[in-house]
Amino acid sequence: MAKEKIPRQPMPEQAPEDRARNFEEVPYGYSEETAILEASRCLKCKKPRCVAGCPVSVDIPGFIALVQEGKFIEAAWKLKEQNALPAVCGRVCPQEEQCEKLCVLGVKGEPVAIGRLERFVADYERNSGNIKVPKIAAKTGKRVAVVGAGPAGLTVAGDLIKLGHDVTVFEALQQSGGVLTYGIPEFRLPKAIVQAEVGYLKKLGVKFVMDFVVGRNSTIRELMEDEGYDAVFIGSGAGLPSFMRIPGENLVGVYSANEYLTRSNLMKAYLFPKYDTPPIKRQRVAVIGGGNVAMDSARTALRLGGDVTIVYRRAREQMPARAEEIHHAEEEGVKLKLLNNPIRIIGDDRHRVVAMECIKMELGELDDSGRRRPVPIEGSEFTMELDMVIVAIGNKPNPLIPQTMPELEMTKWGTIVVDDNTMQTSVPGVFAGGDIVSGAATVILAMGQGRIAAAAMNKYLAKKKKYKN
Amino acid sequence: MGTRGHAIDALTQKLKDGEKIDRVIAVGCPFMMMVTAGETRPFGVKTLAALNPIMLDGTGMCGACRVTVGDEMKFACVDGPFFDAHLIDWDELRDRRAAYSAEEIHSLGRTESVASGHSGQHKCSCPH
Repeated sequence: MAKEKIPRQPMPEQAPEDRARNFEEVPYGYSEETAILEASRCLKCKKPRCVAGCPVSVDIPGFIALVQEGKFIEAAWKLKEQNALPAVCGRVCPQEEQCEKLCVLGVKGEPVAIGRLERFVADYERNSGNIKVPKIAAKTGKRVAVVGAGPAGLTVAGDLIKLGHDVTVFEALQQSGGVLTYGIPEFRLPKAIVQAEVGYLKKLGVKFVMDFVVGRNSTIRELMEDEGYDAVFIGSGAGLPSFMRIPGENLVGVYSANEYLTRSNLMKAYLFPKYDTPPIKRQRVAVIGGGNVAMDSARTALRLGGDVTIVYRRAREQMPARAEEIHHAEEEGVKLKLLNNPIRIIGDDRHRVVAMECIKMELGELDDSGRRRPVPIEGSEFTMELDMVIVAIGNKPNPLIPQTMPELEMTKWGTIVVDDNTMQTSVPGVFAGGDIVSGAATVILAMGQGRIAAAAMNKYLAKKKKYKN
Repeated sequence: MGTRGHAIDALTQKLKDGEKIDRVIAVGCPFMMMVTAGETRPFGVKTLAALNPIMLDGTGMCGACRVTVGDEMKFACVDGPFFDAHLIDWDELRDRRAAYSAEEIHSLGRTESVASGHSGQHKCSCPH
């Protein structure tokens, strides 16, 4: 009974008026004392429901017990048994829909802050400099190519290197991390953390080849037949932004969220001219969409000095973004224009955005997704004056690998068909996971698929004879 | 040897002379490709142009390279680079390519020699 009296510990964060003008991380993280206090709330259930909610099955009560004892480094090792990227997951996992949702304490009160504890432990280990390299199995002589250094690919690389395989990751961009690097902004996931997690994989022996586009520089067949890779994992992500297909979307000043965020995060446009990326500082910005990427775009535009409005065609309850992200965005001064749908973007004679025409919507009947369908209100059109529009309505799977591998079976949506139990594709020895399989999902789901693929690849490699040229 | 003038002059002469040409492929600055498309259009000769809009990653991820081809949105990186030159919206392409010209000039002055090319003495006939 006494345990439940300790309230869920809040995490201190930068004040909204300060953080709206800088790119530093918003929350500061727990102190040691707060972490121990929060850990002491855990009931250490015999059958922990939280673990079932974790796509990579982290031993949650196990690591929390170690935190409670003050054994933070040991807690980090416990986490890393199942999760190669704990500092990332502690920050960007939707815990409220996974582990924390199932926590018994949450039935009557507030669940244990599992995500905050994960973050604390991972940060503690990284800051201590005491990073343990786990035991690596004897070399198997088998070579694995991983396509894409995002969450799925990094998980596969981490798992297979520990099992003694030789692992090379091929990345199209100049820095690894995938969406963790180009997509999620610095203030939500500092890039130094992503690079530290990648550095850990390098320490384990994973090789990284940057600026290498599989499907262009080499096909998967060439990697297997000419370069002698025994198995390949495709984690190329959902890299093809969707647009609304309304007039004016090719105007100068209209960006996909991918482009806008990449310019800011990977290419550091906000540090121009130190970095050679033109800054996109415009005054009146509209972000289209209601997901986490829309929130990230809006909050980035705000920090670059914009007056930012999110335009979303459905209602607040239907926004797919995490409640915490919407809350943070509003606190910082992002405006929400809900139940409004853009119908046309208007430009000047130099093809530059000057305005956007929208129509008001109301909620009608239930649609296929079980949400009430937004229906336009006739005659409610209005125009917003704007300099910039960021389209954040989702991504389609990247076509480069399927284009160059016709034997790879695809769905009609352009995702790769896999066996759910092994993540193996229609081509033997070729596995896939992450957004190229699921469409567009979360970091942790991509990691969960990477975990399944790595186990199946290990079995496949054990059976496979060395490829001979 | 050869013809004194622009590459397009030689092409135009051949078209006017009635020489049988099945296909014209233009690779170069957008202005030259646009003019080429204009020259071949009246003759109905299939013309392809290799487009080079601004791109970040060149793998389909950013969508910066979108162009309008026959009223359809295309990504030059994954759908191209070759498109039917008679269907390309050349004005839009020109303005999209010029989106950052002020910043580019500002940056060139700091980091690179400006002795040659479009930011230095301007010699080619394109309007930039």
